[in-house]
Amino acid sequence: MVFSSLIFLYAFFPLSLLGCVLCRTKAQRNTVLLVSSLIFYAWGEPVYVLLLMFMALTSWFCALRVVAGQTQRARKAWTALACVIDVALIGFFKYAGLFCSIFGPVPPFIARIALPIGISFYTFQLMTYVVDVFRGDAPAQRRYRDVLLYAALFHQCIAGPIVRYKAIGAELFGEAPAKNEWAPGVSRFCVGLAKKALLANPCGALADALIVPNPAADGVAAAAEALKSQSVLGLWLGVAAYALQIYLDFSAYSDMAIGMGKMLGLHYPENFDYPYTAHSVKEFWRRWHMTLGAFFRDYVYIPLGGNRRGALRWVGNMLVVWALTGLWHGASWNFLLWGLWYFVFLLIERAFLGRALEKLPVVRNLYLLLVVLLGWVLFRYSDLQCVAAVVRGMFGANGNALSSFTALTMAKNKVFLLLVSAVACTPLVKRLGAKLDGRGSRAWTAVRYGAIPAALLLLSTAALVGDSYNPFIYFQF
Amino acid sequence: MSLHEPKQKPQHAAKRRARPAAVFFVLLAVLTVVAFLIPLRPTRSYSEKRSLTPFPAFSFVALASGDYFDGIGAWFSDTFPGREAWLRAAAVEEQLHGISDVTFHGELPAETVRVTVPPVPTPPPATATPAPTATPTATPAPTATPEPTPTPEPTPAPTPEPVVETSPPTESVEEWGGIVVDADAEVIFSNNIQIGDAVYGYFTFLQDGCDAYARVLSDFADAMAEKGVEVYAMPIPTSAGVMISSEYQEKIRCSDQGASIAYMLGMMGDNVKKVNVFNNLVAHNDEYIYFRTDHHWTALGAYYAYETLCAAAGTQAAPLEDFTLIDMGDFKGTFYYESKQNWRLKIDTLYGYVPPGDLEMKITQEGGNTFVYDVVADLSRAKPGTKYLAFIGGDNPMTVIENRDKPDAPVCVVIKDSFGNPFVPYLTQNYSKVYVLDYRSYTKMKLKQFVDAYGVDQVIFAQALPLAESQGTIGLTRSLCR
Repeated sequence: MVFSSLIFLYAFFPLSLLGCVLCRTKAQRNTVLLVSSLIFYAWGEPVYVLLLMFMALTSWFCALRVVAGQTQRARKAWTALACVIDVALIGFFKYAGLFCSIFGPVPPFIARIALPIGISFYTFQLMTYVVDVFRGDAPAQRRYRDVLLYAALFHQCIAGPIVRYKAIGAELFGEAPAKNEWAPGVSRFCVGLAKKALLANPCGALADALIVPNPAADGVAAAAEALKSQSVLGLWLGVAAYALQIYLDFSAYSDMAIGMGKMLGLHYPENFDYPYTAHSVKEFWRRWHMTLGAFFRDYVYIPLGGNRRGALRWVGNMLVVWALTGLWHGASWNFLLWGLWYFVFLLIERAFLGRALEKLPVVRNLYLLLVVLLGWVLFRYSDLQCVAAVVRGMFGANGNALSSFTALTMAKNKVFLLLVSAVACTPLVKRLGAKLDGRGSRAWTAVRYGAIPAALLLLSTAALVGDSYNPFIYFQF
Repeated sequence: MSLHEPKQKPQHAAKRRARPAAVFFVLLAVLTVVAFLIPLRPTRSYSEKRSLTPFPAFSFVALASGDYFDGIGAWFSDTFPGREAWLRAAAVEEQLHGISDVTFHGELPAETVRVTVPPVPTPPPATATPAPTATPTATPAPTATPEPTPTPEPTPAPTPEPVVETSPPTESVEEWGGIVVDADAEVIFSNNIQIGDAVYGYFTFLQDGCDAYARVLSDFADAMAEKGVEVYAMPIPTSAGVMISSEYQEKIRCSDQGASIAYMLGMMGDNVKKVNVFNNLVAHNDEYIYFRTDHHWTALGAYYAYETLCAAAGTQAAPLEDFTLIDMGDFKGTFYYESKQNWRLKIDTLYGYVPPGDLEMKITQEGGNTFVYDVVADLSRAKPGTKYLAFIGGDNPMTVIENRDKPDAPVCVVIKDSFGNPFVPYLTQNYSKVYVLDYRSYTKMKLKQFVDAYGVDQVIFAQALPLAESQGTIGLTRSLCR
């Protein structure tokens, strides 16, 4: 089940919310949330819900052993065991095929392994739980079901944000009563829903019409040929539409998760901060999927020594972090290259480019967008033939036309959609909202928290009823 | 777009702003209740001409694989109460995406090079037509969509003959007669372009397909020549090739249908009598010869093809004035239901030309039901999406029309798809019996046997060009002609 489905909107979500509202205590609410979350996850993964439960079980047990450990060595050992189990399981279910492909054809039984939805999100969350307990940043949960709820909570289980245990534990399980923030929650949820249904989906459909989706292995040659014949305008437009789709879709899910959390008094961390307005790759990654970046910083980069052990070690640490960042997004070599693509630019920026860009206000934005757009081409295609066809074609090196009737027509058909989507990637609307908030007008409050969410819900529903294009793009994560 | 709320709002402000959120919750609650009112859930979409997703059947295998829950999700979404109204709202939303004077529907090849038609490798064979492989007329610049120009002056529609059902169908029957509307049998071209108030199907020349189709008909004609049976090939162009200017077709990378037909006919052997209707249709493309909202031609377009056939066969075409015009009102074709911007389309009008004479038409449906029906039925009261069934009762495996006024005229069999439906009624004026076989569903006997069994003098292949060059049609036609 995904947030942008009608069965979620008009069956699961209202019933779950109603159940939570009717509860008198936090424990009761958590029971409703746990049952809801397991149904939510089992809806998409009826079998793999057992894997989720097992991983939560090992983390719960190991965390208790960590607390009970008499020596630092014992505590370390239990922490390491939990992490090894988590890494081994994600390695098996997500990366076994990729690993086997290094040595030859992937055995059929490996190729048949389906990737459990959200495994990358909940595995990381469970690892933060055990590590935070080990570090003394968070208490260990006595009850298994609480750890399970933390890992399975449907708000963020399958598409993030990655919520660390120490950030949410107190609100989720603490004594203090939850302060439901209905209006901000509703507002944020509806904005996310509209970003997904009204902007991201049509941008994705436009991208697919102009640059073919990632083909299966036997379709690579045909896809590459189709991409080679696409005009320069068509390729730029297609890649731009894809970039808009990725951001709007991903941030929409985070918005909806944050919104649902607020409705129940849970505060999830922000995951995006208008990354396309960044001035450098370094800044881009401070604004893009912030919870993933924070995870790698706090649980990989810093433990490896960060930048405190000399330049060479720093480069090595960065290499590890960006290779892992790439592979986290999918078990395919193109994702590794995508991570390393940013690694290279981060090195270059650190060496000299960062300082130079500071003096070039517009150029630095264009530079960032160019790096990101080319990066999305790597992200989209698992075969380098297709990547090369698009990148070369974007600069007219395929002998392709500068423009074409099809590309021009599609650009004309979607010009307002693209403009609105581009604006949605900037903080303009947020600033406007804040300005109007500052006036304290009751009419504006009614519009912002009443009329706009209701209108967005209706418009999104209309867009989803046809349901011709409503992808869930995180299956690989 | 994110409307992040400012931090540290005072408590009273939080309460004040919570009230408007009730609008959302009321709306959510109402729609949730509506969503669970199962009787409100539609089972069929008339605008999309398809059955909606049914509730999935339970099985443990489906449950374990996730297919069962996916099926419930698909059913919940597909049959959402008020679906048609939501779809209309979504269409209005999509209109706001940009400037949509020209739009594409379906999956188009992103930027394929326009497929051009090569010259016929051998000199055109001698033919019976005046100029079967003549250079096709360049299609003139498109004019405003022509208003229906029925000729002659409309005459009062006769009272339709009552439908006699000798073996009435048992399934759902439209209120206007005895034909079961089978939407799944519709031929729908998936790649379309909407230009202004009309939609056109994309066409791409397939050389292998044209060659193969020509071989099938040539071989069959050779076999028939020994029996003295004439074989006519009449590939039918679609609206894009006739109504859109050649320059614009090149721009949108549609292959030239005139050149394609000339090539296809040029590849056929001498025993095939070639009927190139392209130029005659182009000459009349300022008239109402193709629908704007449907992939078919109108009855008037079919008449001009009939004229060309008669010229090729050396017979006199019956003047259009001899036929009785029926104005059946609004018609919405397949394009209308495929288009996401169908409010821009100009609704078609369906005209039928009822042939004169003492005619009787018998339809044999799949399953063997046989009943008598009007050659051109007055479907004024039918739903706008179903009126194309006015012509010979739609697509059926076999239809026979007998003209008792012309017992001595020859007998023909027409091998056709749905484009043949408005064309067949005119043939009643030149043949004592017209047998109509839909090659997609007729399987009772091979065509050679059929010709012998029914004493057929002429075989006419009237198939739409995009279908004729397709592997599916070639395979079925080859099987029929074997």
